[in-house]
Amino acid sequence: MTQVIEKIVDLESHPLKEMPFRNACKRILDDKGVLVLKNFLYDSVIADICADGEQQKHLAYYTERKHNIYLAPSDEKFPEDHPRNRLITSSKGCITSDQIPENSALNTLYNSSEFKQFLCAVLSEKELHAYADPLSSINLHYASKGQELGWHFDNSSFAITLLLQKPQAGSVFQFVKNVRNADAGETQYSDVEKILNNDVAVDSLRMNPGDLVLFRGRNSMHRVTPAMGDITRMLVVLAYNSKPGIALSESARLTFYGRV
Amino acid sequence: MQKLFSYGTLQLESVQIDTFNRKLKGLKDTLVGYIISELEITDEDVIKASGSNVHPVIYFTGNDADVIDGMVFEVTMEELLQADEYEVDDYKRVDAKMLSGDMAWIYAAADA
Repeated sequence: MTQVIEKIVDLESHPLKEMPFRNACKRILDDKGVLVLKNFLYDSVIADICADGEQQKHLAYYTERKHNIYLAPSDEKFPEDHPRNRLITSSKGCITSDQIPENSALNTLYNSSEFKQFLCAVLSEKELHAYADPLSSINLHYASKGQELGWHFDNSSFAITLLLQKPQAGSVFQFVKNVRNADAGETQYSDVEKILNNDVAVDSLRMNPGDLVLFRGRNSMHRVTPAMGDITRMLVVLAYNSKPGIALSESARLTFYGRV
Repeated sequence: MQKLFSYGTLQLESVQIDTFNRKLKGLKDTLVGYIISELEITDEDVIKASGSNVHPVIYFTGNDADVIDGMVFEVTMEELLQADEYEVDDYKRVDAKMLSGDMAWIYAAADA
């Protein structure tokens, strides 16, 4: 297994330390709400992580849950079919940080100061820290045939993902940029309803194994369409906190991982 | 600025404006040790946009007799990253040496 970032990330195409590269990435993310760094990981590294993923797949906790697009409890002021309360299905399997092999390149990448400094610069964060609990920092998600992530807004301001394996078809990441301003308390029910009713053209992101994606999903509605075919989609989510010592709440851990 | 080698449609002013919103500055140069071949594209969006499922692609041979003429353009880092997104998935951006001695980015076959 590789233990230095130079052996994991194609630093020639993605010079994480260089300011012009960081600035360009930041401008693209700020402007588009999404940044895709193609072929970020070397092919051999993807193969190793995929092999680990297949080996650990039996440990995955599978959930199918219904949620509204705000990922918030339903609001009794509105009827059940109102965009505020409309229920959407999401289903996936997940393994957690403690189930990722210790010598995995994912741990090296996640803990790399060079990678974290790059992320801080691009995401305009002062610091990034691992979660204080043993489950939440690195998650590997599995989506088999028919599994999907329904439309939603994220609660966090950014998401960092690495695609490892694509299914034969489906699992398309779709989004509509800047539907609301969450900090201003906007809900934009009318626009949300149009998206849920497929009355709005949506953007699709082309993602391939090894691509790093930074996405601002707090104000942009997004989903991943159902996976098709017999190959399971595998996607890594790298989660950080802006402050040290923060753990994901026990209730959230029970919901997402089935354990604390 | 970054240097980007093109042997194809990026040499056309209309494509430069479509892709980067501006006309690119560039110089003629030659890529050594590569050959042009054809690649069947499976990405439906790209087929729709280009009107063809067969696209040119370059492969590394390491043979000095294999040369490809084209232009080396100057692009910003931001434009280079956006170009990465436009390129179909079967291509990979790698650094290559030109006949002039300059280094430039090229999009070569991903499986090469």
